[in-house]
Amino acid sequence: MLTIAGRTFRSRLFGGTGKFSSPKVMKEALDASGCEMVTVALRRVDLANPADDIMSVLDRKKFLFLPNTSGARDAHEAVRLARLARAAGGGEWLKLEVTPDPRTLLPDPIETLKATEILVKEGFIVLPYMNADPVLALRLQDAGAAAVMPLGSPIGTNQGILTAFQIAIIIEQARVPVVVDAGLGAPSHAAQAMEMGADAVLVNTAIAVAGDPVRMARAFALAVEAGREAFEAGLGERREDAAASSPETGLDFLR
Amino acid sequence: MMQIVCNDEKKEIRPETTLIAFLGELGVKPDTVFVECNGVIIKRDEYETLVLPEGARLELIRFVGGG
Repeated sequence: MLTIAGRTFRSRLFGGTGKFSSPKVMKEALDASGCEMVTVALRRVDLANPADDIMSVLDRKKFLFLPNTSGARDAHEAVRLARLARAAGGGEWLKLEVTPDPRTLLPDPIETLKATEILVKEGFIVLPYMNADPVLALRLQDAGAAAVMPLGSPIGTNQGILTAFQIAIIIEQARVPVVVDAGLGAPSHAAQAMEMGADAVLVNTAIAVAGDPVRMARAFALAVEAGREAFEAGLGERREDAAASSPETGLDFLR
Repeated sequence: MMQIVCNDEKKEIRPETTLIAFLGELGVKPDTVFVECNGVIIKRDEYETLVLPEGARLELIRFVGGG
């Protein structure tokens, strides 16, 4: 079972709550996914639509809320959002996200490390979203991150794992769980991450924007399970030259 | 009447209006939001007792869907 900061998770799939067409679809999809931790964002109440509270459909006993700091452009903004999330009853868990460039939404490594150092001292359980940089992953672990969340590809792109080489090194060196986050667009991408030995994956867009989000959530759950099972079973070695699966002897009668 | 600012919008309230009464007037369920008043996070058990001061700057924030 997966353990992060002393808490165990049966499911290695974490869900996002953004971009769903309705709260009802979101709830059904997250139920189908089997996930036990979901990310949420913090935003101003829309005073023109004050009753619009989509999170109330989710059972907080069933889903651990992982508030994110999406929208933060530097450490200062991320720390402010984190403190607000905790005050809002979000608990100590935090997905730290610092993305200064709206075009790529790539995380700022320096500000992310800075914010991690501050928030860990304040007692937060920090799961930083990060570029797939093995050196940064070690630095974040040294700073007290409870897990690291390297990206497969930029947020919302559905491009899959463009960073496989770096993620493999991160996994090999990790002393905390590795959660591959962002860009996983198909169940096969999630399975790939799990086969590589990732401890979990986080998926939002690919499920939320699917033709049938509930079925896609189930597909991701199966893929994550299959990938993990394959990793634990131990994959066969890759090789350059072919190696026959059938015996190469006993063909004398043909010749 | 006196003025406060809530999420950058000017609002007129009666003097002695508590935070909980103000949220009620807006149609916001208190347990779905959290509030900063003049940059200070207000604890939930203070919603009923906090009287909004003249010129208060409120931020009403809540959890929304996100990845």
